[in-house]
Amino acid sequence: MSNRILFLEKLFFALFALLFVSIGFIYLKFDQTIEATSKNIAGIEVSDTKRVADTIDKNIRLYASKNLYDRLKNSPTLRRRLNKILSLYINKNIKYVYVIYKDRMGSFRYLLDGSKNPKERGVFKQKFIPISSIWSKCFKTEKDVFAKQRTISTLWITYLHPIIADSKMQGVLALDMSLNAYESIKCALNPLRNYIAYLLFFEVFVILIIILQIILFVQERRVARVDPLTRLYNRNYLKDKAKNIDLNHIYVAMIDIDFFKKVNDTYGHDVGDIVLRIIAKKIIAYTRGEDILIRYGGEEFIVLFSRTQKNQSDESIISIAKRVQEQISKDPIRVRDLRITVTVSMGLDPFTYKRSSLAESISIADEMLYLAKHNGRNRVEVAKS
Amino acid sequence: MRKIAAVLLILLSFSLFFSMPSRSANLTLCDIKIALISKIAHAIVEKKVVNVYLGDKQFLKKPKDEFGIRFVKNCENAQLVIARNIQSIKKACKKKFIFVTTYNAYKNSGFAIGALFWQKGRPELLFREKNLKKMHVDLPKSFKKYIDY
Repeated sequence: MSNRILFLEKLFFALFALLFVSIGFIYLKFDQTIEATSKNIAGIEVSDTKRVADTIDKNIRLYASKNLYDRLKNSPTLRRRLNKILSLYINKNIKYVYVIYKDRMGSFRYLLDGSKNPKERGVFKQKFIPISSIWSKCFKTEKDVFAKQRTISTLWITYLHPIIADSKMQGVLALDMSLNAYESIKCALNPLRNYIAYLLFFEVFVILIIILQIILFVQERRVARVDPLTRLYNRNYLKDKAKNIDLNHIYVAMIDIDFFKKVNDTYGHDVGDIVLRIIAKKIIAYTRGEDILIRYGGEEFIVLFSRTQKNQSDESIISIAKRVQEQISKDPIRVRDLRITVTVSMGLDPFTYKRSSLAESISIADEMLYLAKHNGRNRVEVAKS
Repeated sequence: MRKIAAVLLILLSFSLFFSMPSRSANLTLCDIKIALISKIAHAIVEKKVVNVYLGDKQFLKKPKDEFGIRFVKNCENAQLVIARNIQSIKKACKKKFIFVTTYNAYKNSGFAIGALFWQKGRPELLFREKNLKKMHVDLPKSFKKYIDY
């Protein structure tokens, strides 16, 4: 049953991760999709615009087959008529239609402009300052050129068509395409993008809640595994540790304070608590950094001595255990004005690596502790095998 | 294993959010206009802070003192005057550097040193060569393409 739950938990976690990654991926790819779609539509729009440009070109040459500048210069009526013709091609996709020529100084100037709004209309011979290099390119190559506008926020593509008559460049017909088509693609796809963004945001929110839960869990677990009096690990810690401990790397010892009840009865529980704290500190001081000390019960402690090398002699651990026991008995504890001599008994199992479980080794260490108590206390009893 | 996956997931979530295309606010048209006026003012007048009188309130609805320009209320205190047309400028200010905001005003008046206006979504900037010479203004090289001969 628990295996099934574990499997379902893993499956849920994997599905969640997959969902999260895929939504993120879709969101990041969205802009590229809009760009690719608009590119395709741009291709269609450009080919349509090319046909319009050809038609306008024919119309202009119908009125002025050669020397376009001179004809327009001398005839304001012709200028008005051609401007009117250009204005007929302005629609929701083509925003501006105008003709530019290059003067002797190399400056670009307006020849014609179909803009209906007088503010937008370029006047004949008015200087025109091109923003992109496509203008020079069109005049140079005498071929149709188009480019996406990057600096003008209201325009999408500028299409340039050279007007050539008698093998001579008369000017460049420009058609500025509005952003309508591009915006309509974006408008159509934006709700979907927003929906994905909200999903992504929700997932990040869920992850943040999970992180918060993990932090709270870790804090709670730490509190649950530490004894508040001695600040040592407690039985809960041992229970968790037992699941993944390697018996080849430890020795188990059990320590009990001799006649601790007497200390409590004689000096009170306050002093008893201080004695417990001091004994815990002493055991930590006399053991090694890698050894783990656990408060197992009232005045009982367990030491998980680290077995650093496989061929480490059992004698070395016995000597450490004896040192702990001797040092505690040698040094009386000072509490306020009192000097209390406290001794400990210890049961040691130096063959933990032979046991089938940690519980078995603890049980053997407990038996040895009992033996130490039985044999007069203030001593270490070591399991024989 | 699960811990590693969780950490990776968290990292991924943050990286996704930070790698999202930024949608920073674009400069407003007003900001662009102020920046352009500043460039023009500093190309004409060699001063750290140039006083500008804005006669055409429609051209710039919210003038702000930034980019080294200060908008003044009286054209007499200004080094650069921006107006819709020459007629709207006080006689005492007609000898100052005048910029007009329509092509017509630029074309029909000999006083203006230049013009700044918007046409077809593009900012158009023109300097009249004759007046530049008359007022002993030597434009930086980057402004040469805007000179109207």
